[in-house]
Amino acid sequence: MSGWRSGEIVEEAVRRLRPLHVLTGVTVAALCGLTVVAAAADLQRAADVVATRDRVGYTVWVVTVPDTETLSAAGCSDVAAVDQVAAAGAAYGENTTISAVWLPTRLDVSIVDLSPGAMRTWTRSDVAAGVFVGDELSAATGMPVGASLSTADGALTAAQRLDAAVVPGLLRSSVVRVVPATGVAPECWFRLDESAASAAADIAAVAFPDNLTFVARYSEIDDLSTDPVAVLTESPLRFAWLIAVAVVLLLVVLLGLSTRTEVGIYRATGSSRRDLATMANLQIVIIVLTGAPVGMLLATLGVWWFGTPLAGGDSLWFILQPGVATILSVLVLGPAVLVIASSGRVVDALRG
Amino acid sequence: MARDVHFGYRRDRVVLDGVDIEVGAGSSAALMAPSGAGKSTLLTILGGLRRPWSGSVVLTEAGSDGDLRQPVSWVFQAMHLMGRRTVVDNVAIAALARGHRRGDADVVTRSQLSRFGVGHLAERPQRDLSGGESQRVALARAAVADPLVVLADEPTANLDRANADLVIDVLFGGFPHAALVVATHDPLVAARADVIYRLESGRLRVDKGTA
Repeated sequence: MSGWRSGEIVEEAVRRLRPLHVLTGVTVAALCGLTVVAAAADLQRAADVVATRDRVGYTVWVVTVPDTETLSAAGCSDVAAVDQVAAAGAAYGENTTISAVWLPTRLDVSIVDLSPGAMRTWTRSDVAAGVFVGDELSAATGMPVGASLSTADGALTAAQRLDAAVVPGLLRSSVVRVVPATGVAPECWFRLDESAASAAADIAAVAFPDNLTFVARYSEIDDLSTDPVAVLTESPLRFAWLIAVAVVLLLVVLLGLSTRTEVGIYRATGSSRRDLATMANLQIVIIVLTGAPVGMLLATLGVWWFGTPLAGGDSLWFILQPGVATILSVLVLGPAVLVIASSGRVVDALRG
Repeated sequence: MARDVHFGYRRDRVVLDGVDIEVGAGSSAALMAPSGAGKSTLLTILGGLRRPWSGSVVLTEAGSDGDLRQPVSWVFQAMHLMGRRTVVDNVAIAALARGHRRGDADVVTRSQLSRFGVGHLAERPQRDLSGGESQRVALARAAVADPLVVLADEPTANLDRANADLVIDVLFGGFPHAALVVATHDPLVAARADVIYRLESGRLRVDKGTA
């Protein structure tokens, strides 16, 4: 009585697979795919937060000096050479008038103060010289933030059709003119990697040792939900894989209950509990390792197809992690659950 | 085989009250009793599927009770075959469970199927077979293990007379070296046994033959 041979037990485990096993495998595939989609959704939201931060200038630091002083524009540009500074430059504003085209009426928009709203659209790579629409002008006119204001006949013109409901009196806006790194400027800006945010003041102090500098974020964000790390760590979706594991184990229980009589037959014809447990293990492995990778692959391709950022191995691992956790959990718990659910007293299994 | 076996499902309802039974290799015994009297219960105790309250069950000289891997083969009223699997698959599991390679198991299986007159059905799905054919397949499965003891629980209960007669023939002729115990209501089945036991009020009495 040596029990099942290893080759035969593998073959028998495969032969015993039934439509319910296939259904379980398909469910595993779907659930593991959903864990990928859920993680990708979190990743997308975090990426959106990062993009929002960049857009509103959260990672842009503004260096100002007392009214009596100015900063060297060249010195502003040199800040870009500092580690973890993506870009830097000088900025100044002019109390000038721009013309915004408001059909059918042409309005003049008065710039009332210096407000580097254009920084909100500056890219990490470089800043083109010019004048851009900032938040205030955008809010007042409906022009998109970052829209470039053209110069025509020496006047700055916003080529934007304004909403007729806009009250002309509200069309006061802040526009900043970005200038090349020459001469002097009242302000500097630099975009700093968020991980080095605590070094912003030191960077300014080192770059402008002869000035009394004040450093502040261009735009403060108080809302915790705008923290991309918080988006990932606080997301309820990060527990989605636990639900997936629970659902799969529930199916495994059903699988076990539906095979009780069959297990009883095997027991009554001489198969040991150990051999049957081995078959259960193999069946779980087959179900999980065929279903889960397919589901995760298809979901990853779908996520990629629909444009969720998958830059680098880290983000790929991030979206695959819950699926891998699901696989490991089911591989560890599934066989035991299947054995428990499918076993019972043989005499009960074979009754009738 | 069994000595002074006591068993019940509740303390106040004793089913087996000091049962003694002995069946030698190559001989057969029939257990007769009304439904619910405890025939099947006694079989499950003899086969090690239940533990008695007291008493002992010895299947072979070297054997012990409670171990399904002792050389016991079962034949059930409900046959308990896997409908979607082929006949040969259904029977081969008994050989495979005893360490045969698939090829060897196949040879042994087909040989037993032929012995029981269903060799030509080997590749058919079991669900396509009639009741009589299925019970012969179940007998072939029981024979594959080359058992020392065969325990049959109402093996003809679901069959018509013609199929029942066929099954009785192969049951009593198919295990010449085993101890065969058959629980049955059918007097024609019991008549084929060397000894007939009647189970009454939890005790066995010999109705025919010598215990």
